[in-house]
Amino acid sequence: MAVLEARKQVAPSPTKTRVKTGVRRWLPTAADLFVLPYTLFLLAFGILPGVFALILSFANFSNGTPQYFAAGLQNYITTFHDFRFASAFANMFQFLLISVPFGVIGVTGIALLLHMRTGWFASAMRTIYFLPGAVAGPTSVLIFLFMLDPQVSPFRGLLTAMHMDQTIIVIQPSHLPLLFTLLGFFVGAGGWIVIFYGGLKGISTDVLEAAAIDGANAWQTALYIKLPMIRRYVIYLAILTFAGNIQIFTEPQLIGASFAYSGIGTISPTWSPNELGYYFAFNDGNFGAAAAISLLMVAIGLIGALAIIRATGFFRTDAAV
Amino acid sequence: MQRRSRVSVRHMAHAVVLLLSLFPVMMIALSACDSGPSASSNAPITVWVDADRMKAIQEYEAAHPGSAGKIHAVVVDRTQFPAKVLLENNINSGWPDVVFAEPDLVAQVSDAAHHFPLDLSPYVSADIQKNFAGLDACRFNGKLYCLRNDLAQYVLYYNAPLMQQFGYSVPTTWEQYEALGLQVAKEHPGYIIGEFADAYALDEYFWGGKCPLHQVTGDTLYTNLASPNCMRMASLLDTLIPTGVITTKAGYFDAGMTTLGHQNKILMLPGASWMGEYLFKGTLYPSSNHQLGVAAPLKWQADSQAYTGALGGAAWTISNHTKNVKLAVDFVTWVTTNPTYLGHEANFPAYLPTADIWHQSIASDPIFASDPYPVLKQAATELDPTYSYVRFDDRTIFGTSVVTPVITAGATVSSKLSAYQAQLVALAQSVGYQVTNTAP
Repeated sequence: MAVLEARKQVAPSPTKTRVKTGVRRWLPTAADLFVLPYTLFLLAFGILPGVFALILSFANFSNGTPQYFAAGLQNYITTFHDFRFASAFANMFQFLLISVPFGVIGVTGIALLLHMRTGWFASAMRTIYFLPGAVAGPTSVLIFLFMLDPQVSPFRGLLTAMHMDQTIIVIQPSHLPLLFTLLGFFVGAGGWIVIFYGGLKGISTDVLEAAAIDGANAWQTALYIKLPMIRRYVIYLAILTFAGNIQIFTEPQLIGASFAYSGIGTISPTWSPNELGYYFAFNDGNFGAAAAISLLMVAIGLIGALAIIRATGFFRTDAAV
Repeated sequence: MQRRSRVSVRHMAHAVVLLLSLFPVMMIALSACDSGPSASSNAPITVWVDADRMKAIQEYEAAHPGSAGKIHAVVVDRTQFPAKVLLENNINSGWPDVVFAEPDLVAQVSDAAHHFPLDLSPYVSADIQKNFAGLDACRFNGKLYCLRNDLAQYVLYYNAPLMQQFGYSVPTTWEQYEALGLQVAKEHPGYIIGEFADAYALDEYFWGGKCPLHQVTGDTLYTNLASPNCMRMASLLDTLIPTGVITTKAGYFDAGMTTLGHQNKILMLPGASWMGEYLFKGTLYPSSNHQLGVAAPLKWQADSQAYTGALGGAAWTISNHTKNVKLAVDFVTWVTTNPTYLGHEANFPAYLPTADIWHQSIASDPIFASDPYPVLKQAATELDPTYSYVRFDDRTIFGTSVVTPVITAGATVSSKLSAYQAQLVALAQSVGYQVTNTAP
């Protein structure tokens, strides 16, 4: 529980720190020290590689070694005109269209349902939801491989009932966005449900009792009292799901490669934009084009996050809400 | 709050500028590491192998005590080989000297960006080259970029007792195969004579038979799936797939194929040379009762001989960056040609004098109805010489554009070949081939 409380505090509810105006100090404060490790890591693994990618995106790799600033905009042109570019982005947007609403509604819904129940049942379910999240991403993909094979899947009854008696039918291209959504949800939802549950626990019982006295039933309490109070968590989840899901790579890459090994080819090795970037780099040796597509992904992620923040007033202070 | 964030942005900007200014220093430092290729008879060599091939190195060292300690073996996932070469090119060091890899990987590392393999023609005598089967796979623009380790030529497997029981004779042409397929569908439904349920159907049916999938001359890639040589196979498949004798339910390695094998429903199955020992034995057939017949690869009536495909078969390639060409060449030549190693290994050795010795290891295997070696050896020389190994993956797109719609939407193979052709052309162009549909 202590962990949950702590999580709640670092969760992005805007603090009401007083800004000391008019005082110019250069002494590091505790806050600066707390931010320092993050800043260093951000520099080392975020900003610096980003800048390096920017440099690479203008480099020419045609003879195997980088010739910096020799390519001009050629890598960007190569990327945009590539015959796999449109399909990779179409796949990604289909996946986003399904996975973001599914993730946000699913997690919020389950957390609210859990919070309606009290006692051992809720705690047991909370743990069960969390368990798949304890398995590392690639491992869970490998577990998923078995679930997708109607010959060995624990869900083979269900799959056969849906006339899917062959792996190739289960993982046919039109099913992929939904399958990757289910996989992502299976792995990622548990952690968020726990966080949301923690958030819901933080709602004062006074408020809930008042709602009950006013005649609100459980559903009304959930929708009109609890949901608005965890609104920021929901927005935060939406931003992170969006930012994470445009980067979809592991699922199509691992599932595709594993099945391709046994001859089942339904997932292109350039299914998603990130895979296309990887392909540019490590199959074609064109690190420049790979850098170009990576930067494009950064841009999309930033624009998406900014749009959500603007539309929802995410960083507005409590007073302004 | 706002002031604080502006300050940290300025801090960050300073740090970025500082780090940026370090880049040229790093570049210079890295380029200084390039000492250029030089030859030394004493330099150790690094060999990338898989776990199974460690034995090759041990046996070489046992046979050459003087080389002990000079061969540094590393087990590497060779699908990563082309990617690793690119990274090594970027830092201008770190290349392995010898790599065990399939010819398609060798093709991938032989373009300008990878610039990896050493031309072995000056080092390997014409006599030795002549004794190899399947060495065309190692020839790229007149250069010999690898020596074949083993071959995976396609043959026609059949169930000898079943064929006898049904009163069928083993087909020798694709026309007979098609006719027999229709007969099986009528007389013994449920039995299969082939599979079209995985992307290996490309190797099974389209690689042989002189269907021009891809033939490379210089930088030009000739491909023409509309050719009659491809369409005759598509039409055979479209005749047989709906009858179920060529199954779309189970690929070679699916659990469904094992079930069919255990139920004794596999009447015939075109398969690679290693499948007798490694797929039929133990997996498809739980016991060995001399039931597996091995027949020559099928030919088309109109063709003068059979042209067969392959599923697998590897090679050894040497880096042009190697510091010890002599040792690397000696190692690769010994491993591929000396019977000490390949004469007793798993797969069909590409060096035919060694294959003749390898013969003993399968001659009396109780899985086979009769000694399969003569058929395997003949098939090894019938690998389609017009098929070039290419720098892109032709198989996965066959899975996505042909096999998947055939299985999930009941499409015909003939109607999907043009979609496959389009993807193949786009992929070939993206890796730098000039594509033509006119035969060279």
